[in-house]
Amino acid sequence: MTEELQKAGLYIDDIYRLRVQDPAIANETNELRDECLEYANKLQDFKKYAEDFHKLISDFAKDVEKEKLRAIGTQNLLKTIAKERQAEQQVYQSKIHEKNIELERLRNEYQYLQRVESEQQEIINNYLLNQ
Amino acid sequence: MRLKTHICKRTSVNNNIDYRLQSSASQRSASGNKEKANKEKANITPLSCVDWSSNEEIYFVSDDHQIYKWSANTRDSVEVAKLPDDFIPTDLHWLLLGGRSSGGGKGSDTLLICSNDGRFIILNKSARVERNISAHSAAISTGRWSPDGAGLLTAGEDGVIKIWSRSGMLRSTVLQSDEPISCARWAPNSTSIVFSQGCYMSIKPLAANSKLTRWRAHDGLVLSLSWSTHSNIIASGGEDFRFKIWDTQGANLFTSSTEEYAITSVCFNSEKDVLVVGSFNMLKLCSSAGWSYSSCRFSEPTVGSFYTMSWSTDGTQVACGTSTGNLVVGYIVERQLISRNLKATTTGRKTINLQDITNGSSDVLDFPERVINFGLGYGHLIVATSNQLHIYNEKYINTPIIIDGRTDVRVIEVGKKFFMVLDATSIWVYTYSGRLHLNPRYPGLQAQVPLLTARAVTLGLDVLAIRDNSDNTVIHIFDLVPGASRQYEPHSLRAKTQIAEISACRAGTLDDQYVVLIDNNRELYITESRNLNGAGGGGAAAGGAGNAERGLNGRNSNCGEIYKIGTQLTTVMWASETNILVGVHDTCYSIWYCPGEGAADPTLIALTTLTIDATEFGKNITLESFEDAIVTFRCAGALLPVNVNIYCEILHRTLMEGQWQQALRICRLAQNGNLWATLAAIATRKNQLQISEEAYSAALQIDKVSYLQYIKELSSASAEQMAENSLMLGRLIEAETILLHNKKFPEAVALCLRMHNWRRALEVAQKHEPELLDKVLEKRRRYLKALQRDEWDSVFLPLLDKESDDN
Repeated sequence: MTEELQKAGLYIDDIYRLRVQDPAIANETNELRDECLEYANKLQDFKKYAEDFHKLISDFAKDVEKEKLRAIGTQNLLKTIAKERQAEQQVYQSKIHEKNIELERLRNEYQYLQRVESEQQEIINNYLLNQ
Repeated sequence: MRLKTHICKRTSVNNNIDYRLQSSASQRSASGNKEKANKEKANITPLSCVDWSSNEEIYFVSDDHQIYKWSANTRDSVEVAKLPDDFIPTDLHWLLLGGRSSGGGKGSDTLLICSNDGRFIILNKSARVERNISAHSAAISTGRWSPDGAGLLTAGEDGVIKIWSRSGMLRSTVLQSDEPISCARWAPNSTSIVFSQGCYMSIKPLAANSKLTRWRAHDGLVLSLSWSTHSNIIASGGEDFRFKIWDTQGANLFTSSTEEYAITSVCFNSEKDVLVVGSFNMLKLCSSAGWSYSSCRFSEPTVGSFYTMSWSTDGTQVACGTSTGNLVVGYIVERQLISRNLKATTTGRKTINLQDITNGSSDVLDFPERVINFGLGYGHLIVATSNQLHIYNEKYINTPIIIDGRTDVRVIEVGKKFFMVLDATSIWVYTYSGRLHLNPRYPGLQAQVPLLTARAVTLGLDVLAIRDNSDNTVIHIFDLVPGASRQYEPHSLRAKTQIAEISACRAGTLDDQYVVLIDNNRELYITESRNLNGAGGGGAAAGGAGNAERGLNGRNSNCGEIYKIGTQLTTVMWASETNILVGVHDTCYSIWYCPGEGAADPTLIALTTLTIDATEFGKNITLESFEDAIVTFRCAGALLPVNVNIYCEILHRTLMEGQWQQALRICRLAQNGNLWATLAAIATRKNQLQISEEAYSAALQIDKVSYLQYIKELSSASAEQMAENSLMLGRLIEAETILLHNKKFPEAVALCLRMHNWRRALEVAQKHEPELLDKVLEKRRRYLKALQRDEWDSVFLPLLDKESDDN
């Protein structure tokens, strides 16, 4: 009878209910559906992860870019610092030069003041001798 | 001395732009930032046109066509006017006819602005364009009003210099050449022009048919020039990193060492002995001799090269325009004056620090206004602020005497009894108690006041001497003795040559007042500056020749005699307490221990003058002070004190008090030829025969000694002795007058004969005693015989004929 029914496209399942589809296939279909659903979920997760990852990476790229620029800047600065130092040195050099001139002036003045002092001392001594 | 600078924010400029940007930024925030940056960059246009319109206000204009006015009071700039868009300014100069007032120029002040397309415009005070003239076919590099205000010059890159009248009518084309002119300046007397082309500088006098002086000045382009009104020298700055100083003949006076960058601008101060030099991020304050006081660097923030500089009319502040468009205003601080125990230093715009080393005190003096000028000496400090004079006595520092109404004082000279100030309107002599003593006047003074300099005005102990500016050979001498009857009528003295500099003695007695003059050939002359007013004194005095006092007055007959006592002087200075003179030559200096009394006698001058080599000091020596017996020279910034003969100083002091025996003792103690000669000169002048004889014998002047002995043989106080005495002092006319007035005709004739004054001898003989005629003719015959010549004198010829007829 089962075969009869099968011919008519009807099946009887384990608990003797009448089915229009082979229960085995129905079961498999159900399983497949469940698996598909699971797969879809996993795919969803994966997509999220990928998106997160992408964001992370691009952020990182931005940082790298920034750092790179900074590095180039620093590099340039380093390059100019040598020049700057040179200019600074020149400034200091000329300041030293100025101070040296000033020193020379003062030394000269001192020398002449000493001379005046000794002359005056001489006159005082002379005067005391003649007293 | 230092320059204190601040960079003036062109606040209103930036504000304007910011405001406009913000409104646009709200619409387009993304592009806004970019635009802002661009605009700010565009705002950095070089500032090459800066000038003072008064002592407080600066006008400047850069390539943004906007004329701004910066005021020192508000420290802010405001827009004044806008130039047409196609007018790119290259030079700006104010003509200040209203004089040097602080309160802003008068209505007649006019502004000249030149453009890079060969046009110049003249604006009036309210910034309205009065003239717009197309002058050159290329950019005008320089447009300057002449110092006398009569016209203006424009020099262009087409190699042409033109002179225009004040209203903008073309007067003349001074120069036409192929090379572009980078800079041009007037001479202070407006009679010549200095300009630069490439590496060359040229001076072109404006007189017809005068020759152009041209020389190679720098190894690079000459970028800037300045002609000093103060000392009549020219400075130039070039692309070879050097600045140089030249005299008006084009001789090099100073060459700086190489700086770090090209010298883009130089500018002399018109009032003080100061030159400011601008380079990249650096301003240097130098003296006119070239050595530097200090330099001022702008490392943070940088300002760029200084394109243009201009001193305010009172010479205390300098305005500079830089390549980054900044306006930098600087003023001089740490100016220092030293006199004996006192030292005054400006520490800020309105403060002076006065130190006294004898009691170790140090006072900070604060003023309500800007300090413009100050003078120190004889225990007093005179400070001139914008509108006031403050007189400080070293003993009462806390209670200054204040005089109002003296604006913009240019020169202060302190004397023993008085001090003199030269301000915008006139010359004023005050006592230290603040009382106006004299406000001298002579015809034409009013017009000359702006042109007077410290070299042309001098205050002595009891005289004030002014060199006339319209006729440089004339000096006006004012008597300052209180109650002198002719205080307001100067005695005018005329020299033979043009006078460059005058200096009156600062000490001595009433009877011994002298003025020394340096003429344009740098020769030194001396003349008495008092006892000048009795023009008829000679005759009157000789009438009572028996009277000793009248005899003194008798000197007047030779009044105004100018004696030459030195050559090749650059500058001179009198001692503060005695009549000793020191003068600087090129490579040596001279001390005249007795310039006044000995002036009539060249041998005495030679005996009392000491010339000392000064090569050890270096080049370009100037005199800083001469206090008591110490001369201070300034050389390359160093103050070098040198003792003069201190005995001579003491000798002068004792003689001033009339202590003859004391003076003799000093001379015997010191045993110095100069000293004896000085004593001899003064003693002879004061009729101290005994002392002068001893002094002359000690100074080994045998001829003088024997002559003095001869004088002493004559009966004392007789006319003969007085006459001989006058002769001794070199006063021939006076001697003759004395004899004539005392009816000593034979002696008078003999005197004339001795002096080989034949005509006068004949005249005297014919007029008074015909019997002396034979003697005169006899002498003349002998003279002719000795010369082996025939008679040539038209006066004697008829007599000769008569004589031969008699024979």
